[in-house]
Amino acid sequence: MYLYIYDQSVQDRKHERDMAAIENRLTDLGIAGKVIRMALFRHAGENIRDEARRGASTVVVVGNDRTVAHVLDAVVEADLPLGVIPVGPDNQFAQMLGIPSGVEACDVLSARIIERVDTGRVNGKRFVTGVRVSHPDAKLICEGQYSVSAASGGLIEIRNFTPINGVVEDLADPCDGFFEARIRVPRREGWFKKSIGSTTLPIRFGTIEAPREFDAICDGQALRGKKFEISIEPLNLKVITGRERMF
Amino acid sequence: MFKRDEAQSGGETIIAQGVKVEGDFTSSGNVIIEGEVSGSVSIAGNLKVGESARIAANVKAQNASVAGEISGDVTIVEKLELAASSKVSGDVTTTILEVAAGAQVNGKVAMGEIRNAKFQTPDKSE
Repeated sequence: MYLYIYDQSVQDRKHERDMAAIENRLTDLGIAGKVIRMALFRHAGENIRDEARRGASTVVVVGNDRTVAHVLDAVVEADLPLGVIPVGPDNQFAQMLGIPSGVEACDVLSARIIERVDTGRVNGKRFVTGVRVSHPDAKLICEGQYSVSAASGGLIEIRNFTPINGVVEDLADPCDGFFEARIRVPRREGWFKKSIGSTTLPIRFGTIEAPREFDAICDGQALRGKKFEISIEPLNLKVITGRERMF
Repeated sequence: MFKRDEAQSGGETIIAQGVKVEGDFTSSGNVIIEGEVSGSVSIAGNLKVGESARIAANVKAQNASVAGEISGDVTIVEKLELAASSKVSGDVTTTILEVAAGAQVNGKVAMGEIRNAKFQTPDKSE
């Protein structure tokens, strides 16, 4: 049985027509299932755990990256495949999985190509895409062995999935049991030209820290702290992917 | 030993210019260093030290091509190439040595087959 988690945003009137088309297509494909509508103060995690006990075979998020982040813990714990039907903006995760927006996603879901991918934890919170920090004093301590810092401030990225604007030959592999740590530093080439130098390191765990509090962006959400401990959980999540997936 | 397109492909460990690494740096794959490293460097694959690189560490690698500065002992299992811009302040041990005119080595050079070279590396296989 398929379990569909509807984000609060897709219940908006502006998505009414898209949602009707999606529901019709799911019925045509014979993969319609139980629907849980997310709402303020209602946590989908409990519902997923209950439905997993009752025999749900697949959890499908109808919404965006934020919806995926809400259900991630429960889906991993239930060891169910996760599908996404992207509706509206902020759907980087679905794009990386090669899932088109709206009704076309139903066909990808029906084809049911399942891959296992790594997930990560940052200060205990589970994530799937990566963690990004832009702070001049931040440094990355890799596997407790060595520290990496940018001389003049830079961007530290701990990547599990590739960002959308990553070039094809620049893929982070979410199935290798390693994060790809990237430190991007602007450097001057001559008087007017500036380029970005990129440091790349494969790591399984690490810590990003700075003397003062700073923001880390994780799966599109901002976390605040002085120290972020990050670790990988190898091949921890089953995802339904399309043929256009970026890994 | 190193080609430009190989260096730009995925899976390589790269330490870019403007980045500082402190501690015991290890890798099981190929590594390109263009930034600053202090501590120790142990690489089971090939090492390329760019012209802008400044390394204050003992260095171990399978093969190495050096164009920057190394202050520390260098142990290379197979072949070490020193470019004209390279400066090595420390003892060098390798099997094959290629030195360009202008390269500076301040230390002892020992050559011959290196046995039982131990690399501290993480588990990742490249």
